[in-house]
Amino acid sequence: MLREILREVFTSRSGFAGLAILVALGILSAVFLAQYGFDVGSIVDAWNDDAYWLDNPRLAAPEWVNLFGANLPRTTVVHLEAVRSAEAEEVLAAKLEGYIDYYYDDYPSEVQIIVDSQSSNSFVELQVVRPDGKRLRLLSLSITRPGVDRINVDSSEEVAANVERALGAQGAPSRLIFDAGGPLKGTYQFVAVVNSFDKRPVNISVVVYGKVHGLAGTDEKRRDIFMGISMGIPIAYMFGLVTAFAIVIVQSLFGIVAGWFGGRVDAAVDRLADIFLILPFLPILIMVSFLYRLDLLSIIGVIVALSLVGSTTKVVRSMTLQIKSEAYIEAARALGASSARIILVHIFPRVLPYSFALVTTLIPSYVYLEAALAILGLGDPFLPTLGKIISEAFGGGAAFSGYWWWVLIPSAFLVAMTVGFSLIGYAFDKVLNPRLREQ
Amino acid sequence: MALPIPRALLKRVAQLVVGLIVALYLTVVVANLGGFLDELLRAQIEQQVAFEVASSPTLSQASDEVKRAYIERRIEQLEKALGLDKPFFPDRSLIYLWKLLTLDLGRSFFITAASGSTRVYDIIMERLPNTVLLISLGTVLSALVGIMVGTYLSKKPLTRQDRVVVPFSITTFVIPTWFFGIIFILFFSYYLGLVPSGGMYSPNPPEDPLGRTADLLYHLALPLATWVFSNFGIWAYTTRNLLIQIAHEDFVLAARAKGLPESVISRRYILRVAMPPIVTSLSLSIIASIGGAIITETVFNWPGTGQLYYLAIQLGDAPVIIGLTAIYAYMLIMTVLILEVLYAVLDPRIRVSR
Repeated sequence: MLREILREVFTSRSGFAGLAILVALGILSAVFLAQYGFDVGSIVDAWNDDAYWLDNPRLAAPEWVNLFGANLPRTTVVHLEAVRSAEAEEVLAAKLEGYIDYYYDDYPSEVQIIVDSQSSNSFVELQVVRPDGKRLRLLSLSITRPGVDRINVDSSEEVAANVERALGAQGAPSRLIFDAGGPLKGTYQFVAVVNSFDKRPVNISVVVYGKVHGLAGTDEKRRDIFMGISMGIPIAYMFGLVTAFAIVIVQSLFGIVAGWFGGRVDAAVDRLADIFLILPFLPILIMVSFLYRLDLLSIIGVIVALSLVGSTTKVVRSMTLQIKSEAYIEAARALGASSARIILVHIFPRVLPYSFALVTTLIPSYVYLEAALAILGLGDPFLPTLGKIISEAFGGGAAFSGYWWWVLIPSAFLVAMTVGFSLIGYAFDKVLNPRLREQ
Repeated sequence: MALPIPRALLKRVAQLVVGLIVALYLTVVVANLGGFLDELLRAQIEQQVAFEVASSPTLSQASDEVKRAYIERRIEQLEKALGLDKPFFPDRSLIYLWKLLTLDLGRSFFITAASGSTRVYDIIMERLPNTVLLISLGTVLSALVGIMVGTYLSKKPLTRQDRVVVPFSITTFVIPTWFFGIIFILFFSYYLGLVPSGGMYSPNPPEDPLGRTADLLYHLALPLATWVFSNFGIWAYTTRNLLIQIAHEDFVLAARAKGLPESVISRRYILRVAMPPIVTSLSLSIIASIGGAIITETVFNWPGTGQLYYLAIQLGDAPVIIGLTAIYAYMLIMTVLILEVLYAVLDPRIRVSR
């Protein structure tokens, strides 16, 4: 019977559309996660590791905005390569060069110079030759220890002084270098002269950060938002499904027990339902998560514990009263079946399809509940969930500063998911309550 | 004529009080699973004793040994007075329950009221009116808009408007208000610049009452509009369904046969009968919206009790959070009570059943 109902639901127009949306979201997320070999652990680690994202621009819009007439810069990384080197007794001198083609209508968001040195005693000079032929000295560096150093040209006073003097203009160097009364287009040549006194090499790269990145842009920590979304979708499915199923099963069992035993048990469940109805659900959930710092799984546990009896209980109770008087139950009883057996084997499967309808409509509300906790700073501390991304966007001022992609894209996925589940719930309702079919 | 209080209502009040006690007791038990309440109380006792020692001229000049002995004795005394030497079940948990019932919510760690008080009760009460303003205005307005739209739709079921509103109301019902809030702030505050993004007053609000009210309304506009947008749909949907059902009843047909004007039929014969079930079927969503207002206030930076949750979580102010949970239990009970009274007023059958 369950199989028939499911078939009817998913062949109906709204049921099919809902399922299609959910499956599409799942495929999208799977395709993206496949790049990382579905290694969830390392994806989550990467998500929480600020160093992993250093080569991404901060707060960049999605790349597809360029399809709508904009021509915003992409991020370019260039490793300067040795074009000439000379060795003397005490010094290894090398000239490194690299080229960046820049044909965008906006300035880069940042320029960083990465000095990866194996030398502990060397001197570096970096220059840039612009498409208009102007040669700008950027900075001179004395390296005294090996290691990787990232220099943001906007926070280097030396670069600012050099660039401002050479161009006779004021402003952030990352902008001035690319400015000639508007973004200057063409090929930029970066030239570094390295004098290494211990003859060990120094590698230099230049990162010109763009203003677009990936399918959903980046956040304040330079993270690829789409990666968060594609991790968030399966987490939301899991969280929503597990919570909703657990609650509906527990509530149904209470309903069956109330209906089956009747009398005092029924009255007790009824009183319990009255109490649960007026329990301050969210405040208690907030208090518990605050006092005990819960992860996602424990949050599910608390939510279930706070929803032992509820609307499903009432529906299932009245269904049980009907089923109870049917002949096959009497037959089971005559055969000596225990109450527990009748409830689990004969009644529970009968009410299950109706519970399904309730589950599907409930799922999105638990996803939003998780998001609500995230906004208060009480969500899972590590996992990237859709709610956490949205709450971080809100906390990062995305709504007040116009970083629309950070808010709207994860929200759009959450809404799509909501619509998907609602459509399936609606289809279930139609199949199970034929009265609705007339309207 | 004084309205006699119906017995059904009295019974319901008794049920609600039991519910309140259970909710508060649950709060106590949950909060003390890790011994938090005990710790809070001990910290308060230590603070009090330290203050006593510092402010007493004889003690502050006494030797360290005398002081230590005094402090130990005094702490023990106070712990006994507060019942900290007794087991948690049942004695101490009941003491805590009694404290919550008498609204003795203790003192906060960090947060102070605008008056400077550190009493949790003062801190919460200062903000409660703001919350009540937003919730009650939001609920009343979305009810009015929703019932109007629902009535309009019930007259033309299965038309195009109908097909738009039904999915709209189901979707907006599932999506919480705060979620729309974030998106509306982006559009109406950032892009269009129509309204402020949050808060209740400008940083330097005008002094005169008229200007102050205007400033308040200016700040209230977006949260209220968001609230109505996300909540009127389900009112409209519920109203529509009930009205369509009732419109086919015999007594409506009879009224129509009598030749009563359509407006009178819809007001007195259909809407009047539909009101009690509308209120009942929506009471759950009203209750849920009180919890949801916690996040909505946080998003709109509305200085109510919900935003106080956010502040207290950021600062780690446990006494405030426990106190708020108790106050929300009270708020829910009060709301249910108001709904019950409203129901009794609307449904004459309940008024007369004694």
